[in-house]
Amino acid sequence: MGHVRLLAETTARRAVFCVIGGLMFGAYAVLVTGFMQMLGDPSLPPVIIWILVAVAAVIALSPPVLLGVRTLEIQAVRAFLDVDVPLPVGPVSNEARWRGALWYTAHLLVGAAATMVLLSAVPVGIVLILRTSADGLVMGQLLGIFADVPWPFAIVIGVLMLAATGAAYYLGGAVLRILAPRLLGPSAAERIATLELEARTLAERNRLARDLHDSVGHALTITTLQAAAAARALDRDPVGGTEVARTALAAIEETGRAAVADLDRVLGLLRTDADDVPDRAPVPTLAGAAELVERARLTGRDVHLELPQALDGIPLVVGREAYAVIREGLTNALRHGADPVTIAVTRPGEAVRVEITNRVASTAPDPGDRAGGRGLAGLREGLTLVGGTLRAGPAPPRPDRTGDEVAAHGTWRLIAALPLTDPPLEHADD
Amino acid sequence: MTELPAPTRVLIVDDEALVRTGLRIIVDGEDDLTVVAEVGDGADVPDAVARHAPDVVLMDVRMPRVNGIDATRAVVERSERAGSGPRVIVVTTFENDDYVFDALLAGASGFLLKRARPEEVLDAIRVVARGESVLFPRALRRLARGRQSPTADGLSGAGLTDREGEVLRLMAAGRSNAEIAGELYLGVETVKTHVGNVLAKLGVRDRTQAVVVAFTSGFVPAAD
Repeated sequence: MGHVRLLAETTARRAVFCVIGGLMFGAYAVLVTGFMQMLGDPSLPPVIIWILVAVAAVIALSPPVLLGVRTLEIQAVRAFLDVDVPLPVGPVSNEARWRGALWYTAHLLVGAAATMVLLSAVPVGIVLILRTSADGLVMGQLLGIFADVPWPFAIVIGVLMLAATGAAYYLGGAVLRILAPRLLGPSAAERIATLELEARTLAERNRLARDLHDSVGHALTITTLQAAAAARALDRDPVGGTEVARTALAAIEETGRAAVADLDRVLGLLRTDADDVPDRAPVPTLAGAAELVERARLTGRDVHLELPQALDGIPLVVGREAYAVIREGLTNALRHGADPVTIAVTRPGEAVRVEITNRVASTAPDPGDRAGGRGLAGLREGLTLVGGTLRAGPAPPRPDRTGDEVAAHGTWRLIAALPLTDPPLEHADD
Repeated sequence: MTELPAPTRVLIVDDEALVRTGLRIIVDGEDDLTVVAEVGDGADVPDAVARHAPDVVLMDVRMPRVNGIDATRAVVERSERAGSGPRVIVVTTFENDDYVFDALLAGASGFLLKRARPEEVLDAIRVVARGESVLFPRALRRLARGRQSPTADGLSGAGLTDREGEVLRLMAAGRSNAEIAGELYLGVETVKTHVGNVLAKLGVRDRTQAVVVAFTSGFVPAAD
C-alpha cells in the first residue's frame, strides 16, 4: 500500500506542475487565437492589430527570460518534481538565462500535452464506464471511434483511459525531471559563486570559532584556577581564608559574566551568518578598504592607501581575503604602531599583493603581541583558503631613509600575497 | 623545633592578574614553597630573576611584549653563563599550543596546563625543583607532530649505544628512572648513568630536551 500511496502522491504533484504549465500554455493559446480572430475580422484595421500583436509579443515573451521566473521555476521544480536543483547564488550568466527560457518552453509544452490528454481521455473514459447500451446514440458523437465498442469492453477501455491520464502526468513529470538539471542547473559561473560563498562562510566561521575558543577557554581557565585557589585557601584556614575566597568568587563572577557576553556576541554573529541571504549581505571587497582608511583618518591618524583601479574584477573570495588582510593589518598598525601607516595594493602578475607598513611605536617594541598574533593567525587561515601567504616583521632599514625618524624607530611591515589563479578550495581542510 | 629546609622559591610570570593571584594562593599555601615575586610580562623576567633568585619560574606563553619563549631563552642563557639558575615550567591555557613546543626547545623543563589541579601544579614545581622534568609524553608527541626537521636522521650521528637508545625511547614514553630500571632489569644507578650519557651525546641540558630531540629527530616517531 505504501508504494501505491507514494506513486499516487508523486503523480499528483507532477500533475499539478504539468497543469500549471498547461494553464500557462493556455494563456498563450488564448492570446494567439484572439489575434487570429481579430485578423480574420475585416472591420478592424490590420495596422492596429499588428501593433497590438507586437506589444503583446513583447509582454508574452519576457517571462521565459526573466530571472525571477527562473528562480520561481527552480523552486517549483524542487517542490513538485523532487529534483535537487540548487537555488541561484550570485549573478546569472546569459547562457543560464537562455537555458531557463528553454526550460520554460519545455514546461509549457509538456504541460499542454498532458492537459490535452486530460481533456480528451477523462470525459471519454468516464462516459465509457457509465454508459449503458440504451443511450449509445446520445453519446455517439463524443465517443467517436469508441461509440460502437460493446458494453463490457467499454468499461475496460474507460478504466484504461483514466489510467492513461495518470500515466501521462507521471511520464510528463519524468521527462521534465530529466530536463530540469540540464536546463535549470547552475552554470559554471554559478557553481564557482556557490563555492566562493561556501569558502567565505567557512573561513568566517573558523575565525569566529577560534575567537570563541580563545575567549571562553581563557575565561574558563581563570575561573577554574580561581576556584581551586579559593578551595585551597579555605582548606588551610577556614576563617582567615574567607576573604581570599570572597575575592576569588568575585573574580569568577566577573569573568563568567564577561565570557557569557562574549559567547552571546559570537553566537549572535554565527546566527546572523546562517540567516544571511547572499544577495542582501554585501561581500566586503577591496573597494571597502577606502572606507576603512577614511574611518582611521577621521580619528586623526596618518594613513595612506594606494589602490589601483586595475584590481576591479578579481575573484570575490580573493577580494574578500585581501580586504580582511587590510582590516586586520590596519587595526594592528593603529593599535600597536605609530604613524604614518601605508597600505599599498598591487597586482604583480597573477596575484594580488597587500603591503602594510607602519612606524614602530617607541612604547611598544614588540608589535607581535597577543591580540595581533591572534589576528594574524586568523588571517593566515583565511589566506590558505585562497592559497595565499602572509609575512610580517620588522622591515630592514632603507638606505634612502637614513637619519629620519622612521629609520630611527624602525618599520613594521606586513605582506600578504593572494594568487588569482589557484583553485581556492584545495587547502580547505588543512 | 627542628629547622625546616629553605622553601623552594617560585616566580610567577603571567600577563593576567587573575592567573597570577590564583597561582600565588595555591603555591603560597604550601610550607615548602613560597612565591618570591610576580611579574606581568616576559620583559620583566631577567630583572626579577636577578633580584629574587627563584628556583622555579612558572612562565606564561603569550604575553604582550616579550613572550614566554623568549623569556625562557633569556633565563636559560643567563643560567648557563652563571652556572646556576632557575628552572622554567611553561604554563599554558591550551594543550595544543604550538608555542609550548617552542618554549621547550628554548630550554623549559616542562609544561603545565593552567587548568591542572592544584596538586599537579605543586607536584610539578617540586619535581622540577629537584632537577627532574615534567613531561606529558602524549601531549609532547602531539606537539612534536609536524615539527620533525626534513633532514631528520633519527639520531644516527649521535652514536647512542643500543642500550642508550632503549633508555631514550622509555624516557620519551614518560618513564622515570626507576620505571626504566624495572623494565630493563637494570639498577637505578645504571639507568642514571645511561641517561647521563644520552644527555651528553645529544648535547642537551636535561631530560626534557632529550625527549624533545628524540621526537624532532624522528628517533621516536611523533605520528601515531
